[in-house]
Amino acid sequence: MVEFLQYSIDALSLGSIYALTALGIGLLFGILRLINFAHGDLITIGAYALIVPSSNVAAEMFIGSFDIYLMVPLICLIVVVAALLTDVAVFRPLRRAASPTLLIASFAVSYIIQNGILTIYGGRAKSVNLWNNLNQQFAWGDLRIPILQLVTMAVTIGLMLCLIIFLRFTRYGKQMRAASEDFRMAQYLGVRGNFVIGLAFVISGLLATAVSLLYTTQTATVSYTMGVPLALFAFVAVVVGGMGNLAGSVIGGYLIGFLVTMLQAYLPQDLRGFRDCFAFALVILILLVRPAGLVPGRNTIERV
Amino acid sequence: MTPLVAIDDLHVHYSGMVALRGISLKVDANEIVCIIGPNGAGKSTTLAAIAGGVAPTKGAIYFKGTETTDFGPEKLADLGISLVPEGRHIFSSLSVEENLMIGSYRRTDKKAIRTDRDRLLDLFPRLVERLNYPAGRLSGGEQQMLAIGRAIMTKPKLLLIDEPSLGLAPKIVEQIYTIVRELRERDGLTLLINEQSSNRVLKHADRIYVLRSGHIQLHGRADDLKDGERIRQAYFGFEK
Repeated sequence: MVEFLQYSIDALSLGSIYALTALGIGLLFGILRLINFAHGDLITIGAYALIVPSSNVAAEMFIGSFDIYLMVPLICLIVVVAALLTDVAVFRPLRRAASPTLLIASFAVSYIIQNGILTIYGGRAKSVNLWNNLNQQFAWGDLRIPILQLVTMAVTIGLMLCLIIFLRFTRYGKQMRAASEDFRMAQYLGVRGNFVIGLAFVISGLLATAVSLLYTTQTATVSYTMGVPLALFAFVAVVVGGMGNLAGSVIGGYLIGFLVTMLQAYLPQDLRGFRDCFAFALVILILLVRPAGLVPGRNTIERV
Repeated sequence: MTPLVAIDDLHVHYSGMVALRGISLKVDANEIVCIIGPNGAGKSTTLAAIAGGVAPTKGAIYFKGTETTDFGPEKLADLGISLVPEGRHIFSSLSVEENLMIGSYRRTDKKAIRTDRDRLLDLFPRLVERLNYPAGRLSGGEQQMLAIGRAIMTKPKLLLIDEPSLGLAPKIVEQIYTIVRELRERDGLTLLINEQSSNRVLKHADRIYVLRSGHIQLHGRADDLKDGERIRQAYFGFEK
């Protein structure tokens, strides 16, 4: 039982990372019908922004060595600017393009970012020690709880609350919800399409930054492909949760985190290497039973 | 006097399909003008083009004498054109109140927004008790009222309504038209309305255009077309 609880804490922490990433992807999908695979690479950018640009194998802290009150806003700024640049340079010219075109374009953006980082920082993974003291654990009964996992969960809950408050109670949030339900109708009512989309990119950039910092602290390494598996799992989370539904994205994120952690823990030793295969098989099963996801998005409900 | 809206030789194509083949029409300030015609005649396209939702292939659109042919929907909304599209396009997960207020966010006359909202709710008492409901749960008639109310909250000079009576009971349609006329009298609103049937339109409109296969077949004052014979011919395309 203690063992299961211990794994559950891991699952919640990993699920938080996936949920935050899935929120960033789900938010953009809701408003732009864009499945942004480059979201993972924004996370990578946030992580690399911590260190001095150089291809040396040993990473030297740059912004990462600043005071936290300066460092976090700076990393946020860098990632948000990168996110907005992808919109202005790539997605805005494709505004009228079909969803699959946008998807392919996001792959292109993803490769450009990865190769840009590869060129500047080199291809070898680097060890980066951010907020080492968060990796300490404290004991609670028989449980060992790493402080970082608590922080991860707290940050996730905090950001989700902020997002809910923004979407529910501010005029820009309401405009975003309107635009993600019926973009053209919102424009007919004077809602600025490009502004609202830009805002979605800003928020997804902020969410990506949070993941950058938490994930880098946890793994203590950066690599130019570190964001790819995150984006992939988060995308699966979005699909399982129900496309175009933010609550679904969060639930999907935690579900995937839980599946992956528990399979890792309880699969027989020989099969653990195939953990992701089992996880995705379960995902397929869920989708067979609920093709629209766990929480069907409003776009899949027929309007009368 | 310059008309509020003038369309000159407007052509619209959708990826190879022709929707409008050169129509010209005008609407003066404070008029109620109806476009009637069968399905696929190009009525919705005409309204969408005026509101900036459809890019014309040829021709020009003028609003208050200024050419607005290439303006997008956001800019036209600012200028005072508001479209209530066919099917109403309510934001179904937003509350009734949120739906109403979305249209007001661009306005700078903050005090008037509150008064407009309250006056609207006087006109649509059925919405008052449902203000905090998700709008998707409203009935069709209530949704139509909400869609019109939401458009009014942008404080438009020209209100375009696409088939307001589609799928609604005659009694509700009558209510909607009463409100539309009241808005015209009270706020000096100008209305361009699409309908499929001509009887009701003859009663409420000042002027009528009959649109079929992307052409204007007939136009005239509603009073002059009262007997309905010429409209029938234009609508169905019979020759005597």
